[in-house]
Amino acid sequence: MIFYFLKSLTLQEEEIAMAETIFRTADVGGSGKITRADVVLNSVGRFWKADNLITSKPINSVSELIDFTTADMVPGILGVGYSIAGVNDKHNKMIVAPNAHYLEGHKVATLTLAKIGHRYKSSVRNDMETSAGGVHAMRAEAGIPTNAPFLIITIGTGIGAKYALLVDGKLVILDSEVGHMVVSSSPFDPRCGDLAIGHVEGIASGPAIDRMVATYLLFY
Amino acid sequence: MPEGKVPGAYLGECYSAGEEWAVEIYNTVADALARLLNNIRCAYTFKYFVYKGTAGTDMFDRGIGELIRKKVRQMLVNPKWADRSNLKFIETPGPNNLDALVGAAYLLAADLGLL
Repeated sequence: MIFYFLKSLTLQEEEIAMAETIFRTADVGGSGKITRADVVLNSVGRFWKADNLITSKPINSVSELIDFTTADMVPGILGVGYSIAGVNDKHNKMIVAPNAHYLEGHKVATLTLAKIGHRYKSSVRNDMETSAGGVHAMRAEAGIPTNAPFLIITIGTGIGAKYALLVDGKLVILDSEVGHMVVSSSPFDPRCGDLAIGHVEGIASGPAIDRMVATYLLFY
Repeated sequence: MPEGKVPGAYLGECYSAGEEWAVEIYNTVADALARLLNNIRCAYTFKYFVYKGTAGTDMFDRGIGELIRKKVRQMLVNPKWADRSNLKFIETPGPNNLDALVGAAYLLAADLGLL
């Protein structure tokens, strides 16, 4: 399985001819580092392989992000897609980017096309949306039947989730704010980031767990 | 806590070693996640819960999934919904956030009308 994912040979001409779609994509991580890859999808949108998987050093500006993401583009690439945590406007301008504040206010997709040319396409997507899309494209690897809906949940700095289901054969990704679902009515529960008490994010997210560990080690 | 240790990782080690305080924290977290899943499962008939995130992955690696299953079984209107065949915890496939990279490609392909 690992070998399957990590084979990172340079794309050969015959592979490009066989592939229906090749995209350069970049994931903006919480550490400030960017991971990029050439993702090849087959004719029905299933994941085939990811080549040239590279992670950058920490990046601090939108121009650095675009330079890294669009470097060494192989022939056949149709577009550049970004996966960025936060809120974007029209899959282009970053409004809120908690992992990369330097992107806020920038039309990342427009700036990308200004650099590489308008024969390509570019879009910016929320990281949970891309995760849902990725799991859908990798159903076989994940062991999820073709038409089964699923919930993808991130338990990290916060708790986030997206519902993914198929409607008339098309993937539909639904938003949610499950991290702010009330799961406890105790007045002694820790506060969530929005200061409410009893939210699952205030109890089961990474920072909440860290706080519990610190408290236990201090008092017990 | 040993110097240089991340709290979450230290918690995981202590939980695996059976230390009481760590088991208590795992129970608290499992209880919160079980309540969350109970609410979701009562609203929608999802079987597949795909998890990711550093904190979540570490806890699932250490077996919190079965703790959640045990707790959510007691909450669900139909306990059979918590059976292994009806509630599956799945780790996000692939290393290096591959799911996000593949998803960015998939969604762009869909935007272009290629799928």
